[in-house]
Parts: sequence; structure tokens; C-alpha cells
Amino acid sequence: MKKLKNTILWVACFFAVPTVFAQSNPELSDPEVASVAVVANQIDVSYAEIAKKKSKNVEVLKFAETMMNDHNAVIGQAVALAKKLGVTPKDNPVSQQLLADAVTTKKSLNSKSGKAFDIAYADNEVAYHKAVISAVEDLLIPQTDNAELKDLLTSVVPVLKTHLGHAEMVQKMLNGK
Amino acid sequence: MKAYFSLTVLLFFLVSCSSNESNNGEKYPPFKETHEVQPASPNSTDDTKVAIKNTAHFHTVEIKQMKFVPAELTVHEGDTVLWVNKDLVAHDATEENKKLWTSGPIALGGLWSKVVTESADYYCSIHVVMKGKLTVE
Ligand SMILES: [Cu+2]
Repeated sequence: MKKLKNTILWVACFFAVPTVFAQSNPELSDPEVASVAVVANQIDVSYAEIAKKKSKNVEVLKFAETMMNDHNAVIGQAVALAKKLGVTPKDNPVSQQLLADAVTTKKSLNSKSGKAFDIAYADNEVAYHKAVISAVEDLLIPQTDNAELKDLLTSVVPVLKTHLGHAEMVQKMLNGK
Repeated sequence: MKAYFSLTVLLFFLVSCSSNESNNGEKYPPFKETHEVQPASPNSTDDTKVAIKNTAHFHTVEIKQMKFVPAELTVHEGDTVLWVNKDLVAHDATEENKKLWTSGPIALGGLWSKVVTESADYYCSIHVVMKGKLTVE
């Protein structure tokens, strides 16, 4: 049993799934939820920036461009809503853990090049979007008190799911060649 | 919220300046087809505040929650189709098989219209899993 758990942990780390999402639900206030939402989007923008620098694959580059534009658009809306509601995003353990995990992932991505990079980037995008979708659905939305913030988070889910489908397509294409 | 607001503003602009085609806002794609755009009644529940009325030769496809709605549309040759982006992010509508036409990016609250002359499978080239279909009967 312990061995199985270790294997799962190892696999989770390998794919750089934010481990904090798997932990028992931390309590978050709305300013903290806003911070997690912004940070989670910023992290995917930072992965896209690496891909735009390192990849030469047209499909990977197009995907990265979409990630950059969409996640920046979501950040813009989250920041605008926070401002309107008078909420200042507040740092918290979930945001911190996300950023710490991202440092590891970025290091790993930066160490690769060529097709190995493309595959690692696509794999990570699939895993990261899956993790963020479940975090938004199971952690952030249920813990949000403000209705408008809840609505924004709810409307972000289809965006994330479309990104996941797109990432899986890129992943399949890379593995098929 | 912001998207609906800018859509309302744009539609208001179109209603009030419909005779002045050359003066389209730079932010939005050209919009030159004539059709009926009517201000909604005050008790309308439509959150754009303006009702775009579909007629026999004018059809609207809304882009919301990462979908073309309706995804499949049957039209007559020469009909106009208007795409309205009511989503959180920019989208486009692009003919899929030969890239015969594309809207280019449609901003939040933006519109794009096209006179349809033949059936087409189309998709969003920004989010390649988003698909739509036009059938000319
Ligand atoms: Cu799209």
C-alpha cells in the first residue's frame, strides 16, 4: 500500500501536478480564491512563454499562443472583477505551493529541447489543465462566497476544458510522428 | 459583464449609425451587411439589451462557453450569418478544409458577418476543437 502511494506520488511529481490540489481541502477566503485564480493562470502563461522560446513545432507554437492570450484574458477579467468588488487578492498556502511546483516544472522544461521539449510541454499542459479544472470545480467554486466571483470561475471551466482537449490533440500528434 | 457592455455599445453604434458604413470601430471587424437590429423592449430579459432578430435570410451564431451556438445551421444561398462573441476570450470562425475564409480574431463583444454561398465545415483556429457547420440548401 505504501509502495503504491509512493508510486502515485512519484507519478504526480513527474507530471508536475500541483500536489497541493490533492491535499485535504484548505479553507480559502474570497481574496485568497482570487489570488489562486490569478496565480494558476499566470503559471500557464509562463509555461507558454518557455514554449514560444524553445519550440519550433507550428502546432505547439499555436497552442502556446492561445494559452498566452486566453489565460491573460482571464487574468484581466479576474483582476477587473476583484477591483470592482473591492477585493485585494491575498497570498495563501495554495498560491505559494502552486508557484513552488511551477518552479520545478519550469526547470524541467528548460532542461529539454527539440521534440523531447515539445512532448514534455504537451504532457505538462494536459496534466496541469486537468489539475486546475478539478481545483476550480472542487475547491475554488465551492469555497467562493461572492456570486460574481463564483460566476467568473464557473465560466472559466469551459475555457480550461477546451484547452485540455486542444493539449490532448497536440500530445497525440507529437506521439504519432 | 464587460463583454456584454461593449457589445451593447457597438450595437447601439450600429443602430444609430447604420447609414454610415465607413465608420466602423477599429477594434471590430467590418460589418456591412444590412439586416434588422432592433432595440429590445424595456422589459426584455436579453442581457445584450439589444435583440438581433433572425429573419429568413439573416442568422446569428453566438459564441459562448467555447461553443458555436447553434453548431449546425442550415441557410439559403446568399443568406447572411453573423457571429457574436459572448465569451471570455477571443475566437474566430475559419473554413476548415481549405481555409477558404476566416473572420480573423473576433474580440470579446465583437461581431463578424459573412454572406454564405456554399456549405462549409468551419472551426475556431485559436481553439481547434471548436467546430461548426453551415449547410446551404
Ligand atoms: Cu475559439
